[in-house]
Amino acid sequence: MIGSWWTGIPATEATLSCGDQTHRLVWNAGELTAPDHPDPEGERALAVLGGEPIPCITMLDTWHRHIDDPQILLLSSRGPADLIATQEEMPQPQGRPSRLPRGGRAGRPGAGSVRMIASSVGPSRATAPASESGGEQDLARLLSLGGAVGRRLETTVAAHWQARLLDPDDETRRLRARLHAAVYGRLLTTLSGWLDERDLVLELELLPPGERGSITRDASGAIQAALPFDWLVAVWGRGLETIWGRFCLAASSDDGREWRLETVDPGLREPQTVTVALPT
Amino acid sequence: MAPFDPELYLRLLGERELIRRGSDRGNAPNGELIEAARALVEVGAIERAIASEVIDGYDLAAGLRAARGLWRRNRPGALAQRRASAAAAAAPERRMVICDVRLERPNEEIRIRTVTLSEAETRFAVKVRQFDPPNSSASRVRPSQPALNYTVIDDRGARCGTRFSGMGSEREWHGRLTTDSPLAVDTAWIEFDGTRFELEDVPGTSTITIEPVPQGDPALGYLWFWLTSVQRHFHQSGATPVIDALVAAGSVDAEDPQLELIRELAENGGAWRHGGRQAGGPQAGLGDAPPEWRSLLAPRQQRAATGSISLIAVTPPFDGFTVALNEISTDNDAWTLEFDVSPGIMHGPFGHSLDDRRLAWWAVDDLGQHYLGELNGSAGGPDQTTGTLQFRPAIDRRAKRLTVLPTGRHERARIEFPLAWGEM
Repeated sequence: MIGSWWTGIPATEATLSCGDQTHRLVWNAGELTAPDHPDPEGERALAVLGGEPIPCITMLDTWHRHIDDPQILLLSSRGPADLIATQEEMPQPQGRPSRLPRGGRAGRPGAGSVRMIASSVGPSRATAPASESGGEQDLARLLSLGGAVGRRLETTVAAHWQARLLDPDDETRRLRARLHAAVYGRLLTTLSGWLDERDLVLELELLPPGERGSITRDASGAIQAALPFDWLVAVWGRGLETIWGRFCLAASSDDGREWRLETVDPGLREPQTVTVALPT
Repeated sequence: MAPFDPELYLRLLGERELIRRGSDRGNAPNGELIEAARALVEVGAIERAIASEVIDGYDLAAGLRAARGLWRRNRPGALAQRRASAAAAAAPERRMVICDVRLERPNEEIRIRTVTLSEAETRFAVKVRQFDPPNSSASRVRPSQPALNYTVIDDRGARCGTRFSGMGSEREWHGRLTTDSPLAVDTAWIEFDGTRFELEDVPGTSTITIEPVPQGDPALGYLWFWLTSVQRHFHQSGATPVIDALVAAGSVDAEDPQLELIRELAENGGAWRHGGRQAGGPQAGLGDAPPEWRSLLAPRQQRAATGSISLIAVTPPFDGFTVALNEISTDNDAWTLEFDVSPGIMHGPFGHSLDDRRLAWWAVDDLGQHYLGELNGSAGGPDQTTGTLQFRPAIDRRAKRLTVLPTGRHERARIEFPLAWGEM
């Protein structure tokens, strides 16, 4: 099996206004970077001294604060039909726009990076809600950045909790309802769109990690699904929830290029494996 | 079958509500989630702190999806309301005086029934009749609501203006005049638009006691209480999340016959308020309903009293509330009651937070007829609500005494007084 949760998840980038320029935030292999800011630590210190936040650095810091925050799974989008308000619609940050160092766009790749170690264990920020309005606004901007950055963040968080579920502690058990709801909401959105059923009734059993999922329809027409939390990382995080008109229960790969997808058709008949591969 | 997990139940409800509203980028609160959470908290199925955490999370999620959602969520007023909701507000000290002053002007007659003075404001309960000036044109366009801005002065020489809130028709209005700034609470007199009148403190005629609310089945008791907060323009989905949550928690039997009646009353949009079973009333049997509901839903045939009564009635605290009543007026097939309550109450079908406070406004006369009041115009905030309640059915003219019962979840006030009707 593949070693890193992000294997097979394509790199992505989003743009944002930073001062009077348009800058990029780049996600690749579990890492978010601001390549237009070659010295983020120095700029962060300058921003503190000058009292002028630098949007790219603020986004990196916001990302870092929330990489294991289960609240992200509640707040982020459940899919294309569930839109987070755009940056333009969001309240503007306090303070003047920041001035950027000249030549800021010429930063080297990898500069200003925040490393994500999804399975890290230690003091968790999981219980710190984004309750302050400034924090909420920064988080809102991050989740609405576009370029799938929001989904990358939620997948990062999901990967953290997927690892914690393998050896659950008190905090993991306390958060079980949140994790269950995170799968439920995304599954409900996916199935409603896939089956074109607006008022779809869904019952979800959250299986232990690694167990084989299933999906059926009962006599009342309700969908009975059983999935492990892993589905959020392995399937949802890779954008594989539906493929070729089929719903994907699980995804696995040995090399990160060829993927075996366990899928069902809209009749929810016996699962069949679909194999997809990137060209070498 | 897995045991009921109340937090998971609420979170899945929150997911469904969030997704259902996906394309609606307005800022409606997570009403069903909040109502279900309130119900589960009330019957002890979930800790308030956990329910609050769930609600707050989905409130933020909804805010992130609304164009101005975060702004609305974090605007100063909303923050203040959330803070105030978290702690019970202290009721302001009041001085209430019946004055019954009539001021006649060429183009209007102002009748001042009572004055309420507190450190925060001074308020006059008034009725205003307006006339066309003798030489005015018949086609003159009248304002939709009178300005009613008068100058008032107290015995210290403090001077301020007034603003009106209330209701009425083209020529007749009744409601409150509130001063721009408070007059001295202990002022001996007030000069109102050039006319001075004395304020004489006399004891009220009402008897006030506080008593516990009779406790029956917690879930059914909550549902009946919840029903009293249903507004007139109410849609049917409101009852479903509340009942479903209590059934899922095992707090009430899904087959309980009272549920059918409660659901029916909730789903007909409050039409039952306007005439019991004869006009949109419930079809389910009333036999299982609490006695006050049976009385309300099957009112006696009677001839309605007419008139008004000025009151001085301020309760001690009960269930965290303090209530003041200051005037009853008959109104065709109903009657109205002017009131103040501290802290403020919320009376919509869906609350904005778990901490929104509610009161059921019951009344009963000495002939045994029960009445239920609903808000018919109010103002205020988290600290205080002031407004008018409308009760149905009309009061029987044979009734000699009335008891108003502002009812919280655990305690209620009994405010009893004689029905000595005066001129409207």
